[in-house]
Amino acid sequence: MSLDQLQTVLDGDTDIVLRRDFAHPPAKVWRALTEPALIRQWMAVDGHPMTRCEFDPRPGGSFHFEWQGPDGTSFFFSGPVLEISAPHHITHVEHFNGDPAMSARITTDLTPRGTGTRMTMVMRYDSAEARAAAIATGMTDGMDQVYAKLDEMAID
Amino acid sequence: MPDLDAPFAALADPTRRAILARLAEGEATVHDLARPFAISQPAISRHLRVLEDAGLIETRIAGTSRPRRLKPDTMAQLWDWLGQYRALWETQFQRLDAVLDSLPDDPPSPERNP
Repeated sequence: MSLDQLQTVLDGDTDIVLRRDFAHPPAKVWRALTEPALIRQWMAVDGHPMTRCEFDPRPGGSFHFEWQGPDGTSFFFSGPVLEISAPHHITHVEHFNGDPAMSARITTDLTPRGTGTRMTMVMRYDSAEARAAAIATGMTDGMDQVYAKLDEMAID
Repeated sequence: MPDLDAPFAALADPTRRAILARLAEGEATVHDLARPFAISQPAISRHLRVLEDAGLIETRIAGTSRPRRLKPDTMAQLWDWLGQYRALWETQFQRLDAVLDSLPDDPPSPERNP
């Protein structure tokens, strides 16, 4: 099955699994995932310019992605790189706003698929409660856009 | 499919979404929750009642204290239903598609020799 659209699955009590196919080979996808100049081009959120985009893609390296909202408040994801093997595999830890209680261990694998790439990202939380908290945070942050979308689709 | 009308109705209110965001950081009492919001404790209690009736949060009994916390099962059910939320991620990956289309076919090799 081709996954032109993102597939997201809750796996067990603690994992969120994302799968997505890209039309380009792993070496190219790897660049877009690890080079800050390219990361900026696709991680920008409408109304939230990226104010910091740093990624040192080496074992022992780290990353820091930060955005600023229209009201001036900022939020960021940061953490250490645990394992990295270009252009196929990264394991890193992601903290939200520097809070160690809000963290996930994220494993990203790029496998060749035809002339393209399948990306599989496993986001593992410490517990079912931590995963629910992450979903709640994403949901509450994203709900305004979700409700706008539902309005567009005229769903009550 | 579980009945998700109540959770979605509960989520339609921005104050209740802010309360959930606060509970995502850890359990909290009515007193804890009233402080950052410029509304009274009775008003907070009413919002908590709606969230609890919708199955989004639960109350823990700890002596005389009644901290509220997220209820993971309902969050998981909402997630399963809420393709629209995941569409935000998909939008980001579509921008990634566009970045990939703009790159030359033979990029300098990022391979690193161990």
